[in-house]
Amino acid sequence: METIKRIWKSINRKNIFAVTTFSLILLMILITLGGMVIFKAQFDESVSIENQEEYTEYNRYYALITSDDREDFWQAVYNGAREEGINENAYVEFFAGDLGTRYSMEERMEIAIAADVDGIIVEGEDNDSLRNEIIKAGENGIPVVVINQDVPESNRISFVGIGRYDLGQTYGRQTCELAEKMLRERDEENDDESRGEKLQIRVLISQEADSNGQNLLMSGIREEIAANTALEDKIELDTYTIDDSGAFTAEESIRDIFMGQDEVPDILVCLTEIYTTCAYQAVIDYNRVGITNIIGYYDSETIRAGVDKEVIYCTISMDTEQMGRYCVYALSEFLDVEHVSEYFTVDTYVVNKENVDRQGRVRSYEE
Amino acid sequence: MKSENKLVNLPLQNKLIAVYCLTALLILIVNLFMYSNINSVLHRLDRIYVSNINLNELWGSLDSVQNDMTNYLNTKTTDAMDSYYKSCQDYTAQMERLSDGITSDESQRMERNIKAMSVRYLELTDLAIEAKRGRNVEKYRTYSEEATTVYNYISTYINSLNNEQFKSNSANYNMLSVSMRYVEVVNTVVFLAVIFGNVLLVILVIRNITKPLKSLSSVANQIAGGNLEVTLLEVNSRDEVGVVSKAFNHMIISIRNYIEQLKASMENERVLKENEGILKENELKMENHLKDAQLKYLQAQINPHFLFNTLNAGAQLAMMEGADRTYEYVQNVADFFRYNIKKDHDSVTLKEELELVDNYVYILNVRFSGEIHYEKDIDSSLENLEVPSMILQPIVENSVNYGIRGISWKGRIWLSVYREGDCAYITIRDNGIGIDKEKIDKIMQVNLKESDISSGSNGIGLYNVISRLKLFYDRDDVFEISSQGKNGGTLVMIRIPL
Repeated sequence: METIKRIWKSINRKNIFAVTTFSLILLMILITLGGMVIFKAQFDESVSIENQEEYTEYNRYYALITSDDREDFWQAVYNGAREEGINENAYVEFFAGDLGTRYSMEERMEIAIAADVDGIIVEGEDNDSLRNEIIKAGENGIPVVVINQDVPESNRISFVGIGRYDLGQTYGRQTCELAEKMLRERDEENDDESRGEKLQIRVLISQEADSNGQNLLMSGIREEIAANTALEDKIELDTYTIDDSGAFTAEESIRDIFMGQDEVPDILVCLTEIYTTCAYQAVIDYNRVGITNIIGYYDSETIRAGVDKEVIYCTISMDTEQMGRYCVYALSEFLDVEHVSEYFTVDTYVVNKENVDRQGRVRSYEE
Repeated sequence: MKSENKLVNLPLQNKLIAVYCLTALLILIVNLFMYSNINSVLHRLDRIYVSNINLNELWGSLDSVQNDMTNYLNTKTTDAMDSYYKSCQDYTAQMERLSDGITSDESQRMERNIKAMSVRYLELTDLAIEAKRGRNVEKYRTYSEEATTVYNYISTYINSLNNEQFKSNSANYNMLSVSMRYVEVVNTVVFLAVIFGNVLLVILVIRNITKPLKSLSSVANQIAGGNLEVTLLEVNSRDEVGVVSKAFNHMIISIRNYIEQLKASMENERVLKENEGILKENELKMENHLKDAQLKYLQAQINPHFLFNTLNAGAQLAMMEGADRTYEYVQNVADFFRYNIKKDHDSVTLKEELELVDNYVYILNVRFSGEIHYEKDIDSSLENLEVPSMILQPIVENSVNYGIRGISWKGRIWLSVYREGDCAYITIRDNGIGIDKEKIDKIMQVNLKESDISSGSNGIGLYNVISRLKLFYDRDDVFEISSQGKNGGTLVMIRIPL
């Protein structure tokens, strides 16, 4: 206080002018500097946003090529692959999937070969053009891992997927379980009319998919059902071929089941994510909830919702992220030591009403 | 504080220059600030679309390579070949600038892919050209087809990358336009603030400069209005205004001192005058005039005693011879002269003065055969009034000499003495030729010193009479002449306070 008083005293009348002038100039300079600082802060911020991204460098570059990059299934595979890639110092991307032009898988293979990537992960299809591309890649020194479905007689280094026979057995077990449950319910209802009638079980198979894989799967289902002698004369198993040659045709084919002259089956066994989703919607649309049950494939959001609402009895899924991880592991292993196991089997698990509300696929799998 | 004192002591001119320079400097700083802000934004803006431009150039070069290859395959000319190699060189040079790292950044990976594909593409085009030169038709077709496929892939990649970069560049551009608007606002605010501050500063400084001038002018006005009791100016600065103010203060003090001195000396003078008295002065003057009159008179006459004795002898002789009229005449002349000899006092009674006039008129009437008709009307109670001597006779003489002498009608002179209010009046009127206004003014204003005995006059001049009357009664309105104009006669009136 004393100092302030002293200062105030020293600012007598004569000095007021000088002090005012000086502070006015100081104020103006401060305003200018303040403006400069504010602007610089804003500008630096915008520049820093602009250059914000810090890039990580990778040693290897793997191309992931699938028929539909946006599908949940492939997104999950991609996530697993990305994760493993970071561990292996390799960058995985959906290769040439987001360009101005939409390319076929074969063309994308071509581009990947021309771009000289370090490895290719490709969704398997049993056709010659893809087989040729895989062979071509091999000729150019690029290892190829085939995923989900094997491409025989190509020089792919590994196949990562589910054992079709095992998968068939799982389907068979779930089918038996469901059939037993439905028969039990029917007995309880004492429905005389329907008593004695056989349960109709229909497996939806693809027209396009390789016959080998489907055959294996079907034999797995059949064997499992056959093993269950109690059901032997109470169920009737048949297959229904879905026309998925063109875009959107699968959905039409599935609706035909409900609209057709034939009796609508009691159990629909779906072998792909698309079939499961379409069947789920059709059951609701045609008011067959509780009458027609679905055993599905994969556990996308929609499918899990279906399971939760008991429209889908259960769905058989696999650890897709594990799938992705195996792919990257296989490629890196091959590049490092030039040798790797030819088959990687991915774990499968069943999602039903009991475990569906638990979050996430991985946890279900862990259980 | 030192520097501020310096500022205060600066000459006016330098002060004003300093204010101007200071404000200009501030504006300059703000301008520099704005310029640097805008410049940094513009600089960034310039670089924003560089990547797009580069990609377009790259695509152009790629296109040239493809065209030149096709051209050579079509025509196989040396020109096409040269052009192809040149394009290849261009393209390689541009391609080399692309990033070839595998990173998490999509653009960089795309660049890497473009680069890798370009290497493959150039290999293929080279092979196609080689095959064409070697006339291997099948091979060059295969290679060129493969090259074209790869060319298409690269084009797609470049276009996609271009698109991607355009998107991100546009985002950056938007960010910079935000900055630009920001700059606008900040600049405007700062500029306005500084302009405002400058105006305040100028007002402050100019007021500081003009304040002493204003107080100086107000004080000057007060002094011009006659008020010397103003408070002195306060002088803070040593500039021109300070100097003038100081000088002004000195001036005020000097004027005050001078006026004090002047007042004192005037006071002294007044006291002196009072002591000596105006009366004494008048007495002296009176004496002087009388002496002067007598001297003049004596100079004008031969020894009056001799003349008087001579005339007395003549009167006795006339009586002895029984010539009564002669006796009376000579007796009157002798009386007339005796009055002059006898009267050496300055005041006489009115009666004595009147007798002298009677003598004079008698003598004149004898001389001029009764031409002058003299009438008098006297308030006898005033006959003992004391008046200066030798007053009436000169007036009558004047009336005779300048009034009625030479007129064609009968000359008359009226003399009356009467009382009115607290004054006694003596009037002498004639019916002569009169006197004009100018002459009257001249007579009334003429100084005693200039007065003289007029030529042709028998005695004392009119001026002498007027002066003495004024001195005797100490007032100016004692004597008055009036006339009706030409041939209107003249009236002389003497007002004597009782």
